[in-house]
Amino acid sequence: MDLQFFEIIPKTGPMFIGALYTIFVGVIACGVGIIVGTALLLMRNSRFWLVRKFVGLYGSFIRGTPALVQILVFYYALTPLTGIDVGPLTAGIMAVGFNSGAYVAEILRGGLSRIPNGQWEAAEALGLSKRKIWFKIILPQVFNSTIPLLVNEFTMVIKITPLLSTITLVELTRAAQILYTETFRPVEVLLVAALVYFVICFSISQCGEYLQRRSVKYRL
Amino acid sequence: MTFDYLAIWDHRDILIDGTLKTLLISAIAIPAGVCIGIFVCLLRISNRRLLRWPAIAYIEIMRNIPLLILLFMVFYALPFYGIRLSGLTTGFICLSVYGGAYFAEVFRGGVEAVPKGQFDAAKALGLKYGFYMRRVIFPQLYSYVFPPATNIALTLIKESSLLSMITVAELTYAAHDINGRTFTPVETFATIAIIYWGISIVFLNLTSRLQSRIEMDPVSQQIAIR
Amino acid sequence: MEPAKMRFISLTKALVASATALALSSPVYAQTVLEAVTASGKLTVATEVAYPPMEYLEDGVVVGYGKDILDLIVADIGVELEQLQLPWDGILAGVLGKKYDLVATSVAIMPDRVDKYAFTRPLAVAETMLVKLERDDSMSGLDDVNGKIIGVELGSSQAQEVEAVDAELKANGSAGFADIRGFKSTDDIRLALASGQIDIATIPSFSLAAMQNQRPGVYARLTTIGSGTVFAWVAHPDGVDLRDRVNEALEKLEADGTLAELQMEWFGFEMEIPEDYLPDGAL
Repeated sequence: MDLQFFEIIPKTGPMFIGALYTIFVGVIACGVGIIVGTALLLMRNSRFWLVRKFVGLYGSFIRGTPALVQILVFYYALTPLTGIDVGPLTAGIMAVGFNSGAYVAEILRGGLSRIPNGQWEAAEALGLSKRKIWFKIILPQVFNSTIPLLVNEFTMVIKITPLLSTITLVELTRAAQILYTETFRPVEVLLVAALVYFVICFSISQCGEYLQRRSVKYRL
Repeated sequence: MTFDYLAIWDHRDILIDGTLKTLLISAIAIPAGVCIGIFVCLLRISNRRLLRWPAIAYIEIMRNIPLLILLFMVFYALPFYGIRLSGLTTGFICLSVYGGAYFAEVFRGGVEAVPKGQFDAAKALGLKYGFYMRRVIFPQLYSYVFPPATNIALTLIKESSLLSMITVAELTYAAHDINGRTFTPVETFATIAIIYWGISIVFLNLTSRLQSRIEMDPVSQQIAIR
Repeated sequence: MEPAKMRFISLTKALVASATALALSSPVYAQTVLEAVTASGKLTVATEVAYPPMEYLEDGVVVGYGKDILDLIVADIGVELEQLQLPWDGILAGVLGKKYDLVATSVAIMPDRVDKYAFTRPLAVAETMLVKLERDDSMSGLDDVNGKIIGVELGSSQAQEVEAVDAELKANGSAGFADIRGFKSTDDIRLALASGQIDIATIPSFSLAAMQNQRPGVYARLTTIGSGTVFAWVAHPDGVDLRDRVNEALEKLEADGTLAELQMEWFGFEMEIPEDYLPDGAL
C-alpha cells in the first residue's frame, strides 16, 4: 500500500470548492423538495380526481425510477419539450428537488396520519379557516414529528448529488474525477472524497438528533 | 418536435439485454445483501464490544457515503493494487455491501421491536442462543421487517443504474449506447425510465402479495408470538 | 400572509405542472444563426474536454489544438467566446436543440451524420488506434488481441469500429475480444488502462503523443484499425451560414500557415486535411 497523500494535498482546492457546491445544491434541492412535498401533500386532499391521481402517479414514478435516470431525463428532455433552457446547475437542483419532493411527501403523509382527529375538530370548532388550520396547526406539528425522517432525507439528497457529475456539474465527485484522472491517484483522491461525504452526512444526522431532542418540548 | 421511436425499436436488442442484466444484478445483489445484513445485524446486537464496534463502523460508513464513490473506489482504485474485477463483479460486491448495511439496520430495528419477554422466556427455557434466535426471534421479525426490507430491495434495483458508470451493460448503459448511435437522448432515456417504472411496479406488486401471504400464514408464528 | 402562502402554493403547483406537462413551444429563430451570433457578440460552443491534444483540461482550463483554433476564429469573426464543457452524451442533440451555436469538439464525419448536421472543414484526421501498456509484452499486433479486454468510449464512432473488428475476428474463427467495455469518457479509459483494469485502450491516433507526454513510458502503440476518421466541428442544419463563416476563417488560417504551425506544436507533425471530406448528400 503506497499511499501518497502529499502529492494530492496541494491540488485538493477544487475538491473543497466542489464540496461547497455539493452542500449548496443539497440545501437548495432540499428546500425545493420540502416545497414540492408540502404541495403534493396538500394536493392529495384535492376535490379533483385528476389532481389526486397525478400525485399518485408522480410518487410512483419518482420512487420507481432511478435518480440517475430522472436526472438524465430532466436534463435532456426539458429543453426540447418545454423550450426552457437551463444550465446543469438549475436542471440538477430541480431534478433532485423534484425527486426529494416525492419522498418528503411520503414522510409528511406519515406524519399527517399521526395527527389526532381531535386537532382538526377542535380547530374547526374554534372557527378557523382551512388555510389557518393547515398552516398554523397541522403542518407545524407534522414537520415537528417528522424531523428525524426529514434529516434522513437531506442525507439522501446529499448522496444523490454525485449523480449530477454526469451532467457535468462540478460538485465533489466530479472534482474528484478530474483530479484523479490528472494525477492517476484514484485511491487517495476517492478516500478524501469519501471522507468529506462522510463528514457532511454524519454532521447532518447529528444535527438532526440535536433538533429532535429540542423539539421534544413541543410534543403533545 | 418529432419523436424518433423507430430508432430505439431498431436497437431493441440492446435494450432487452440491458433489462435482463439489470434484473440479473438485482436478483443476485439483493439476497447477498440480505445475508450480509443478517450477519452484520447479529454483530451489531452482540454484547461484545469487539464484535459490535466494527459492525457499527461498517454501517455508519455505508450509510454516509454515496454508492458511486464506493463503486469508483473498487473499480478504479483496486486495480492499482493488483485486484482487477470486472464491472459486473464490482457492482455485485458494492451493491451487496452497501445494501447489507441498510438491511442490517432494518433487521436490528426488528429485533429491538420483539418484546424483551421473548428473549427472557427463551433463556429461562434453557434454549441456546443459536436455537432461539433462529426459531423464536427471527420468525417474529418477518412482518416487521418486510416492508422496509422491500424498500431497500427496490432501492438496490434502482441503484443498479449507477453500474452504467463502471461499464456494466445494464439498462442505463444501454440507453447511453443507443443514444450514441442514434442521438436521441429524449426518447432513449424516457424509454428506460418507463422500463424501470414497470420493473418497480411489478416488484412492488409481487412483494405486497408475498407480504399478505406471510401475514396470512402465521402457523409458525403463532407458537412463537403469544 | 395567507394569500401570499396560497399564491406560493399555486406557484409551486404551476411549476410542478409545467415541468411535467408536455408543453410544446419551440423557440422561433427570426434571424439566422450567424446573424444572431454577430448581433449578440457571443459565440456559444459546447466542448467535450476529454480528447487530448484536441481539447482537454489542464489545471481546470480548457487547452488544446481545437481551443487555439477556436480562439483565432472568434477573433476573426469578432465575437466573444463562451465555452460550455459538456459530456459527449447529448452534445450533438444539444446543438439540434439549439442550446448552443456550435459543437467545438472532435466529431467524426460519418455517413449517417452528414445530412443531419452541418459539418465544418475538418480539424484533424486520425486513425483509430489501439494502445497498450508499454510493459505488456503479450501483444504485438492485431492477432494478439484475442481474449483481451478492450475499452472504448461509449457511443463513439471508434466503439463501432472496434465492434466491427471484433466481428471480423470472430468470423475468422478467433475468440475475439474478451470484453468490450464502454466508458463515459476517454479520461476514464486512460486511467483504466494505466491501472490494469483493461488491456487495450481505443484512442484517436493524435492522442497518443499527448498521453505519452503526460505519462512517459506508460503507453505504447499496438496497432491501428478502421479506415481513418475525419474530425470536424458541427453546427445546426439551419446554421449553414455560421458553418460557412467558420470555414472561411479556417481557410484563412490554413492559407497563412497558422494551422501548420499549430499542428507542429500540438501533434509534432503536419496533418493533411483532405479536400473532399463530405460524402454525398451532406449539408
